[in-house]
Amino acid sequence: MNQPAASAGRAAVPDGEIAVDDPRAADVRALLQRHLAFAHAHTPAEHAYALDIDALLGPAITFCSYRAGGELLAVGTLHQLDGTHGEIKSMHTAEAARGRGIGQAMLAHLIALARARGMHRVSLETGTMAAFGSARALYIGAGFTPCGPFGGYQPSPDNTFLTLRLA
Amino acid sequence: MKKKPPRMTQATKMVLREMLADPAARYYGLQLSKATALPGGTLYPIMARLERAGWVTGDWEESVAHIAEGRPPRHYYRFTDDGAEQARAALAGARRPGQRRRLDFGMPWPDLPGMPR
Repeated sequence: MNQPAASAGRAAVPDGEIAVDDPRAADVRALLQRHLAFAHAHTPAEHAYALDIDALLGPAITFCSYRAGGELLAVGTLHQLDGTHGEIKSMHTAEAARGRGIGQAMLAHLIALARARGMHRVSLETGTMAAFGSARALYIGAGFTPCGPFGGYQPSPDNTFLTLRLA
Repeated sequence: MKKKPPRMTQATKMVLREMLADPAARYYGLQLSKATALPGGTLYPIMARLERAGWVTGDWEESVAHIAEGRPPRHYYRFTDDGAEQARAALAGARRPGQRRRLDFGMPWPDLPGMPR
């Protein structure tokens, strides 16, 4: 395979490891709770699309975590929308671990995974508010560009859509 | 309406031959990738085209066994009701009326390990 790390679902990153993980694990649940709380604190309920644990156990979803010495520092998800289009979801870095490039490593891992699965494009939805500024900077820095709503999303002033062509 | 048949590239033929070994079975991506030695970046777009052509249908692994195994979920492929027959006909070089056959220069198939003959 071209990308053994991604296809095996595991990758070594500086001072930690990204691997497929269980969204039901206690520490993952706690971090996902903070992720959901953040989304709902900054986005009106009807425009907050963060996935709960049940949704993360659904089909077509690869849920990954970043751990350093076993400690959970970040999560991220790739959802395959169809044969050629993937969606990045549930990107969250623990507050104490921010500013170390962990989100960047997670994003790179999910993009490599999408490539290995033959996807031509990955897209994502995030917020337009100031609280999502560092998230938007991460995606723009990785080459994502604004796009229209995809999948089942509706346009709204609270949501922005970004996409990255892989092929 | 009849869907457009997929382009019969060498890689597409390899995938179809692999699936025709047991046309009633379902196959997951990595399994086909290993059997044909085609990387995912080549294999999955072929599978997407075979799905669009209506020859193959795909579905996701039902359980969450992949989590314990530390791998992404499997996407399974199987032939549709008439998919295997269409694939066999295409491999045999069947042409639709009026369709011109592309020239085959009879290039020898390279002898690579794992290549089906």
